Amino acid sequence: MALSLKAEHASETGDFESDRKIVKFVVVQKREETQAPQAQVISFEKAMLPHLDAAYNLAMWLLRNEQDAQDIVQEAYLRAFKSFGGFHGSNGRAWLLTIVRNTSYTFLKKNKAADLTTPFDDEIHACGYESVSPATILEHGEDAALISEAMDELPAEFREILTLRHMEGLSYKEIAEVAEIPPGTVMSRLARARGKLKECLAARIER
Amino acid sequence: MDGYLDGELDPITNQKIEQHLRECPECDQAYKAHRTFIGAVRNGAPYYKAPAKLHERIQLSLREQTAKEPVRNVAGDAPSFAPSARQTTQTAPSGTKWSLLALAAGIIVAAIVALNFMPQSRRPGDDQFLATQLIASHARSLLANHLTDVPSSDQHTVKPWLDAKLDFAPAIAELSSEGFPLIGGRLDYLDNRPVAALVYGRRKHFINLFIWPAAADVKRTPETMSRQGYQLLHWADSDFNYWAVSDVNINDLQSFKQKFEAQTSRH
Repeated sequence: MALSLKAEHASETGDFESDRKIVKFVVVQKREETQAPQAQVISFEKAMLPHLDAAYNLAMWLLRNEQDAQDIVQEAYLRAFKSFGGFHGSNGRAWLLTIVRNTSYTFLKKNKAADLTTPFDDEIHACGYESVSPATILEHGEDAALISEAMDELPAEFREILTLRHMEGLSYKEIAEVAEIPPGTVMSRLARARGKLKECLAARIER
Repeated sequence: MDGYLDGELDPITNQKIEQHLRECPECDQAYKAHRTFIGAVRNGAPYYKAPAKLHERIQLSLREQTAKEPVRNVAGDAPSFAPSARQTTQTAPSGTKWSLLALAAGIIVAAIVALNFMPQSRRPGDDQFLATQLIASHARSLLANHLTDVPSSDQHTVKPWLDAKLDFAPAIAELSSEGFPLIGGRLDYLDNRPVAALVYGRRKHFINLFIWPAAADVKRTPETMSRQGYQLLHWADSDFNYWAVSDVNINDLQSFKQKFEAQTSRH
């Protein structure tokens, strides 16, 4: 790569002596500038495709539909690719999940406005609180179908934060970045989401 | 309590809570119950892994993207976390040996991939040949029992069936209230590639709407042709080529096109 840059600059200015310094500078500052298109794709894929399952899982929990999730993940990867040049951080997964999340919400707003709600509308989504003993929770709590149904009754933002914490193990700080909320809000929203999930799960177990 | 459970509290608060839990059995019990609940839900919730074909789809679309815009811009001013929707492309400096070679190599590889998925650029002779193919496909579909592969008037049945068989997913319009009921879908082969054929009815006639992905250079102005008693109507959007073929009159076809576009452009 250094070789190609040197030749390029040399032929432009014809001055071989001073160009060496310029070449070094350019290589450090703009690593992507003259990368061949196929190499760009490959370096992007190497960095981002390992997070495909995380991306798909988040999209599924937000959109609750396989076809939509696949479409959204594909679109998110395209968008990520286009702005990959501007990504200089170390947390690729969080960066990608932010894009997946934004793409998902854009889709939800366009197509399924009923699913979105502000976090303060908990009362409207009441599942009917039933108190359930820890033993019962253990007995039924790991039932994937029950959990899935209970999650379906939560607003999208709650599903989002539960997925990010429980399934992706993101820290509060990372969650704040991905979900684009102030760090202080993360703990309270997570607590409310868990509380609501417990209600909805308990209501289903009791049935 | 959740912060403590998640280990996200600062050491002082953490210590205070720990202390309290030692002293207060009620809180301790509540905490343990909460912890059990979180553990159960964490283990039990399904984790959706991406299907294998999604991996391939993404790789393909990335390569198609670089075929359209060979050199990606350097987004030195990209905003912090959210990606920008609109990008300008810089073209590589031309007339220089190395970058030109690299670019040429990249474009050749991308073009080989692209040629497999996009139709060739059109010349007038090609269009006439295509028209012949279209009419042949249309006429053939009207002969003995091969109008549809998936005979359903429900777009939610037809669409997944077609999506599964093809490497693209055209939108389907529901137009029975407009006088164009959906009869079903069919696979066909035109312009050297598999295409989708949506069959609509119009009174006692049939319209075959052939759809396949559009190349970047395909003509976008609608055009009409009339041959051998059939009417053909062509248009394209940013994703697909559309060819409607039928023996109904051209006004009906235009009306069909308008209504089809009106519905599908909403997506």
